[in-house]
Amino acid sequence: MVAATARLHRLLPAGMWSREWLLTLARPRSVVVKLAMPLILGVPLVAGHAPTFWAGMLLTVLVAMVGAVGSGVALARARTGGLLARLALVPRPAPRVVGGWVLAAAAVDTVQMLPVALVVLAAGGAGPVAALALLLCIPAVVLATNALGCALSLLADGPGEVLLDVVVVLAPLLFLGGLFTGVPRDGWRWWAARLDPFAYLHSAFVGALGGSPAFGSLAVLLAAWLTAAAALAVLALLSRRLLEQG
Amino acid sequence: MTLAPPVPAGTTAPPGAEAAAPEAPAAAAVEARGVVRRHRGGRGVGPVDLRVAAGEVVVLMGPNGAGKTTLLRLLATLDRAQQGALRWRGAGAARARRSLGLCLDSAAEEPTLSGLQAAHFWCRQWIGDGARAREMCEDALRRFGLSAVRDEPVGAYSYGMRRRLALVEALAHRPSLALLDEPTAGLDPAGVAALQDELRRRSAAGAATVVASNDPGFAAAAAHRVAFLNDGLLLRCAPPAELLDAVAGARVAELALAAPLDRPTHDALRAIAGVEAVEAHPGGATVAFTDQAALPRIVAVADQPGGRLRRLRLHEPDLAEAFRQLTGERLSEEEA
Repeated sequence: MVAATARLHRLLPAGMWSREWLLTLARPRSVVVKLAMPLILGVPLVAGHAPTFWAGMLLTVLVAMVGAVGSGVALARARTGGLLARLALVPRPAPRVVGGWVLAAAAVDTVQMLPVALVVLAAGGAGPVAALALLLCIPAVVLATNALGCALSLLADGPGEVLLDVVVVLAPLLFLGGLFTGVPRDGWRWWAARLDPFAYLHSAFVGALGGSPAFGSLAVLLAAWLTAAAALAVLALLSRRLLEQG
Repeated sequence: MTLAPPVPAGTTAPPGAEAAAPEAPAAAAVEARGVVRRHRGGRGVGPVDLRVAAGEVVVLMGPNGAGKTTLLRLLATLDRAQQGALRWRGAGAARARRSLGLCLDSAAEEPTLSGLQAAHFWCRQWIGDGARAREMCEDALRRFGLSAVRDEPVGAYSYGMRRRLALVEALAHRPSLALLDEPTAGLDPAGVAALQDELRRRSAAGAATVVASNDPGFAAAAAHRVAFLNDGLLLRCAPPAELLDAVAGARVAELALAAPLDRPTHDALRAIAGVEAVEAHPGGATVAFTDQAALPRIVAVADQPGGRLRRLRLHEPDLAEAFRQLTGERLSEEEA
C-alpha cells in the first residue's frame, strides 16, 4: 500500500481528469468504502429476492444520490477553498474546465456503481440487450446527476446546504419518475415520467433484475443519453458563472 | 539572471535594489480606468485609476474592507467592473488569462496531492509541454525552499509551507501579471526573503506583480510603488520613499502600558512640545514626535501612575505610519 501511494505521488496531473483520479486513488480507504457502499445496499436486495420494482427503486435512488451529492459537495468545497477562483483564471474555455471535472467525477461514480450493477446482472439473469442497456444507462444518468449537483452548488452557501438542495430537487424528480408509487397510465404524470431520466434507469434496473421493464432498452438508452447531453449543455452555459462565483 | 529590477517609468527602485537604466515606457501590464465594483452594502472599490507597468511591483495597502481584495479580483478578471474599463497589455480579460497568476489568502490545496503534483497541475494549465512544466515547478519549488518535501503530501506541510506552495502555484508558470493576496501571511523571514527575491526576478524579466499586503517592511522592500486604499478609493500611489517623505523627520514611540491610556495622560502627552500625534490602542499608545527633546517628557508622562509604562520601543516611521498620517486610520488590528 505504501509503495502504491508513493507511486501515485510520482504521477503528475495535467488536467481535471487526471487530478480527480489521482485524488480518488490517493485515499485507499475512501475507495474501499465507495465500492463497498453500493454492494452493501444492493447485495441483500438481490440475495433476498426483493420485489424488482422496489429493488430497482433503491438502486436508482443510490445512483442519483451518488452522482448529485458527490459533485455538488466537491464543487462547494472547491469554492470555499479558492480552487474555483483559480480555475476561473486558466486560459481554457470554462465549459472545458467544468466539463472535464464532471466527466472525471462521473467516471469515478460509474466505477463505483459497476460492481453492484454486475451483481444485479448476474443474479437477474438478464439478456445481453437488457444488460447493455443497464451498463450504458448508469454512466448517462450519473453524468446528468453530476451536472445537476454542480448546478445546485451555485445556489448553496456550503457543502452542507448542497446536500439538502440535492434532496429537495431529487425527491420530486424521483417521485415523478414513478419510483415511489408507480406511474398512472394517463394524465400529466404519465408524460412527466417519460421526460424523467430516473424512470428509464429504474426501468433498466427492473429489466436487469428479471422484472417487467416499463421501457424498451433502446428507449432507455436514448432517453438517458439525451438527458446527459442536455444536462452537459446546461452546465456548459453555467460554467463561467460556476467558476467566477468562487 | 540579474536580481536587480528594472525601474518602470515614473517609479523608483525599491530600497536595496541596484539602480537600473531608465526604460522606455512599456505597455501597461494592467490598466484600470475609473473602475467601480461595489458590493451590496456599499463596500468594494471605485472609482479607481491604476496603471501597472511591465516589470513593476505595486503593493496595495489599506485596512480591512478598504477594497484591496476586490481590486485584486478585478485585476485577476474574476469580477467584472460595474463602471470603467480594465485592459491587460491592451487586451481584454480572455487574452489576459493566458498569462495570469493568482495567490489567494484563503487558497487551500488538496492534502493528498504532493507539493510537486499540486504545482504541476496548475503549471500545466498554462504550459503545454509536460517536461517543461515539471522543470519550471521544480525550479520554483527550489526557490521557495520546498524541494526537500516536494514529494510529500500537502497535508503533511506546515501552514507556512502551504503558503509557500501557494506562491509556487501562482508563479511557477512565470505569468506576465501576478496578483498576490497577503502573500507574507504565515511566511517566516526566509519565506519573505524568498518572495522578495522572486519578485526581483520577475521584475527583471519584465513581469508585473500586484500585491495586497499590510506588511510595511515587505512593502518598502519589495514595491516600486505603494497604493494606499481606504473606503474603496485609491488615495495615493507612489514610490515608498515618496510616501515616507510625508513622515520624514518624525520618530515614533510605541508605549506598552499596564492599563489603557486614560484621557488625562493622553492630553498630557499631546501637550508636550514636539509631539505630533498620540493614538491610544488596547496595548498602550503610539506617539509620533519630531523633537528629540520631547522623548524624556513622553517617558515621564507615560510612566506616571495613570500611564504605567512597561516597555518603550522607538522606530522610524514606516509605511503604516505614513498611511496613518494620510488617513488618520490604522492599517490593521494587528498593528494595534
